[in-house]
Amino acid sequence: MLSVAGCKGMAMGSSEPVVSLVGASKSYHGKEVLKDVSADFKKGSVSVLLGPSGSGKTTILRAICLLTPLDGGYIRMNGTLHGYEETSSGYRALPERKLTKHRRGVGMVFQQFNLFPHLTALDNVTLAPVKVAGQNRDEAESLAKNLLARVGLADKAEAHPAQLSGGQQQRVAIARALALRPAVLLFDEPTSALDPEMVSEVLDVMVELAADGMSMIVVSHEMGFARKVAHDVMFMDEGMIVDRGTPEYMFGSAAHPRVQNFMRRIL
Amino acid sequence: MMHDLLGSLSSTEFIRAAITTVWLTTAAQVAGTIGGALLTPLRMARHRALRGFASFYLLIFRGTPELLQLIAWYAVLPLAGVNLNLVEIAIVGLGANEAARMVEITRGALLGVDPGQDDASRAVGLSRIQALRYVILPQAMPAIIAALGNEVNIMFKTTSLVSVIGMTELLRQSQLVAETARSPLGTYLAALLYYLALTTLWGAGQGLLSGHRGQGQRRPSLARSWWHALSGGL
Amino acid sequence: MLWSWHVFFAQLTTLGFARAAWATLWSASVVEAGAVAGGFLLAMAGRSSIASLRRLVGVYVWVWRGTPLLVQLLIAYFGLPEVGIRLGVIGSGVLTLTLNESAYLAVLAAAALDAIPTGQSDASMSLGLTGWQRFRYVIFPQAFRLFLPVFGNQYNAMLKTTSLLSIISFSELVEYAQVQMNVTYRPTEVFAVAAIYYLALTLMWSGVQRFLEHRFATVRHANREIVRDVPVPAGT
Repeated sequence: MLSVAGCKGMAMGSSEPVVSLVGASKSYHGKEVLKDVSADFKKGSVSVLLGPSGSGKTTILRAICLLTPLDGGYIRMNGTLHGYEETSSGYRALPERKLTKHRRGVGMVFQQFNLFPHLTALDNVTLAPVKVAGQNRDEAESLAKNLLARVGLADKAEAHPAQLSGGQQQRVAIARALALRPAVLLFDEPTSALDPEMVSEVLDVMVELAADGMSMIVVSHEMGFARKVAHDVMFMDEGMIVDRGTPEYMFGSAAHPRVQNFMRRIL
Repeated sequence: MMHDLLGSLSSTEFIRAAITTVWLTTAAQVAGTIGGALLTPLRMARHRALRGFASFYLLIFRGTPELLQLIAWYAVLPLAGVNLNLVEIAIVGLGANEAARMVEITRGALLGVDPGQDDASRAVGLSRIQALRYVILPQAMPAIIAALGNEVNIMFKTTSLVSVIGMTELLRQSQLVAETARSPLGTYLAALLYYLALTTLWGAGQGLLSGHRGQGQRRPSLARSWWHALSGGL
Repeated sequence: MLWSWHVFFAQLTTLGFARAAWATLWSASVVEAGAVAGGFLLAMAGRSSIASLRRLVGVYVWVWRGTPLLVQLLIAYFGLPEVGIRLGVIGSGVLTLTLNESAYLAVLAAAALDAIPTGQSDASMSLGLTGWQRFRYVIFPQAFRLFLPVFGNQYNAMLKTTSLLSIISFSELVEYAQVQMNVTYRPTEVFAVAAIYYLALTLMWSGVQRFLEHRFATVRHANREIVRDVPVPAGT
């Protein structure tokens, strides 16, 4: 696996942000989890979201991947409305059946992997391309095998999740998310559920993806990854973006005091 | 129809029949529980003959329909010289079947206790019987009690089978009335409502006894709906 | 005399008994198959976001499980004609049993569905699968595996429950046994034969059940006809 320390010089100068969050608000049981959050994510860039638990980071990911509808605000992908429609009184989330089409553009990797236990690794990866994108099965399978090879699991195509280690399962999950060629890949604490010795195999895959120019939004506590690979780091607290900038800035002393406090506590 | 429905609902015969159903349920369940308590040790005995008998008993009484058993008791006992009246046959028939069910329930509950408990009690020096009595059985009890409550619920409905051998409980009563009533539908619906009331009341009573409150689930699910709680489980 | 081997074997080899056993088998199968569909439908409806639908399902389950099957059969066969619905012996028998069993399976299906972690829905949703696709390819296959053992027990019980159809003169084993008893006046032998038929049916099903559980519990390698050669991409 290549280690890409210098990947940050990659071209990012695309006019439209790949994902645009505008005025996102969300409440659960009366508690405000997102408070009017707006953020742009550039194409080809790796953004890392940091913050204490409950700060809204996971909610943002779930909102972008259209698993959780926002109470207020909307999302654009490459300029077009993504999962939301404009009404006379503002914007509102599309009904469930219209959402499925939009979900294809975003890939999500979960903390708990969420692989389909009754399917082989290969079937896990081909299910969506065949059923959602209508791809021909043979085509989908050869693509899937390539993806599995890319994450280093070519020989595990016929294995079931139960036969794979945590790190291997998460890598299959990444291949599965890539199968639909999403415009952006989201990662929700991808290594938090892994035993320490398996964390690097997953991070290495993520680093490679970043080097290939994949747009990524990552929620993670892996500071090493953030420092070396991220193009920008966003700190959230209590449903709002407190500060945002390059890793040097965010890890340094010029960042917002709350950010510096947080960094001090976890580093 | 409504005339027959309401008429039946309030008739004294129906009320008496409902009371019959209630005490028959109780008697059958008690008989079955005692039978099960006697049979379970046999099932786990060291002596092969005793175990064999218990297994055979279970095979017959769990492998054949309860209706068949009741009719068989009714028809065969007199031939063997045993002359019981209808009520006695009903209790024997229902009880014998229930005993088999209780054995399975008890066995299931005992197996459900952490196997580590077995190890621990043996390590501490308890004999098999002592381990059972002081460690395993007490832990299996809650499951048995819960299942017992469910069995009563089932028994309320099973008593309807004794109508086939001629005993006048709720179902038979409604059949008798329906024969001459203008609306059999109304009559049977009355019986339906009586049964529903009985099982629902029992289910509610069960719930109160075990202090169950609806647990906060993230999504309301059928298995947790309060209707299910009212009808007291399977 | 209490027992005559002659009568016993005569009854055992009667074609009528075999036919009655077949009736028991097919009616149990039809009912249980219908009830699986009904049960899962009810379970899904019971998880719907529409409150009135959930309540409706709750009432259905409450009534069908809270009242004796025998009363339900009597209503279907003797009561419904009053309002113009005449289903006949087979119709009312099979339909009533199916509706009744659906209520019981609904609870079991709901438990199986509940046991599936929400992460599965999340993952399949994130891949863009529609609600039906999620159910068909991800949720149901897993739920069914959990459901299978309890389903096996229910089918076993249904083989015996069909005996209640004798009340409306459906010709299954118990009804036939009663007919034979009135013809031969030898209840012991007749009922022994009926019992043996039931034991044979339930034994047969236990074998099938074990086979099914084994097949579904083990890993699904055999689903492809060809053992594929996995080409190793260059540069791995």
